[in-house]
Amino acid sequence: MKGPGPHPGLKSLLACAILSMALLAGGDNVQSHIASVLASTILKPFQVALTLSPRLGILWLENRQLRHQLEERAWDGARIHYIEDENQRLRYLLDMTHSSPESLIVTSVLAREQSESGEVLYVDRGSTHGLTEGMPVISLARLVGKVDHVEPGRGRVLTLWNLQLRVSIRVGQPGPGGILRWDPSLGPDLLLEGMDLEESIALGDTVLTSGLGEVFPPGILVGRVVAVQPDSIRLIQEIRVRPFVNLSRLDDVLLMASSDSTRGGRR
Amino acid sequence: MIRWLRLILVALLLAAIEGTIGLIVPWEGARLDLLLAFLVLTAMDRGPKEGVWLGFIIGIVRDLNQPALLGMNSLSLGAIGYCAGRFADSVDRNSWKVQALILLVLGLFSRVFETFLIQVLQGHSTWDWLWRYEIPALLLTAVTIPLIVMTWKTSRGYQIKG
Repeated sequence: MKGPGPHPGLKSLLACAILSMALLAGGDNVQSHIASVLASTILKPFQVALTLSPRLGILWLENRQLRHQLEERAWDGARIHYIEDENQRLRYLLDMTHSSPESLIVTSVLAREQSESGEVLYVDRGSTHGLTEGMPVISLARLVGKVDHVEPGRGRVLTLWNLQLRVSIRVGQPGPGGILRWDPSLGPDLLLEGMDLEESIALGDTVLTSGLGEVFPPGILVGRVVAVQPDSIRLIQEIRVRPFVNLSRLDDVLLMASSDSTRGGRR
Repeated sequence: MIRWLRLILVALLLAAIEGTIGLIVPWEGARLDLLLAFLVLTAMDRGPKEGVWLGFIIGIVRDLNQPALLGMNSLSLGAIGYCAGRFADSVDRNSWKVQALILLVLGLFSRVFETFLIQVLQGHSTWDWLWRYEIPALLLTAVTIPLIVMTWKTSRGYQIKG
């Protein structure tokens, strides 16, 4: 952008020179006042950037170190959590075997399989360790299923998610009873059919084994009511129950046996 | 207006670089005078009027950022901006050698003027500082910056004369 005259920019130079000399001619007080006004208004953000920029590198390094430490702590936390879980599980197994040593066999889950009728588990104890067909299987006092086939070195367990298994239960203690079975259309939930409309069932109610049928002893925790669907035509209500056990997290299970059958089992 | 804002932002950025990264001295205590190079090259490109005011603003920034007399840098850099804009009309402004020469001559003028002004107004001499640090810095700046700018422009497809 050049000036129109023969000496473009000369007026600007004169103005600049006058302004600069006015600044120079001002005493120390005037200069320091102008400098402080300029510094505290127009150039403040710039000065902040100037003081900040050398520290950015240090802050970046500190941030990186702290992130690294945070990752280490998170890893430690996860390990502690795992060890706590394992500790709780082992304590429970120890307590159970000590409190009723004649009726429990501790086994480890070897494999989990999806059969035609549903989920089955294979455990590392068999008939030589005292397993018999029909034994209830629990984990952390929650019902897992029952033994349906036994070989010398291993046993097969029908889980709650198997069409062949039906469990006689009651809702609450005391409460109305019924038969619980797996319905593949419900996904992870089980179906409690045939409950009268008059029975008062609420969401969150605990479902336990009733002891009827003599397969499962009474009072074993099974699950929790997650849905109640009244059927006004059939005058019943269908109840969905979500089991407490999670098969994907099962490592050890307990088999509840009679005193005679547990001889030779691991306790 | 936007063009002026852009120029001022670049000047502030260069001042920040001078005050931080530029403190890593490359040659015998002499560091690149990025603001001076920016002023001279911009004034040669855009003319004396813009050169004057850009020099004035850069001078004020430098006055506030350095323990100098308020108005000293604005006066000398304003004059440099004017002279660079004027010289550019009569020389080959795209030649990096011309740019280096103008940068060296005008930079030398401004340094001598500032040193003289300090001696007159404050009564103490900084000639020793001028010879030991300012002249090497000027040489370094005059040689490197136009070369860097030429290299950058060449890489972007400009036609540059040697």
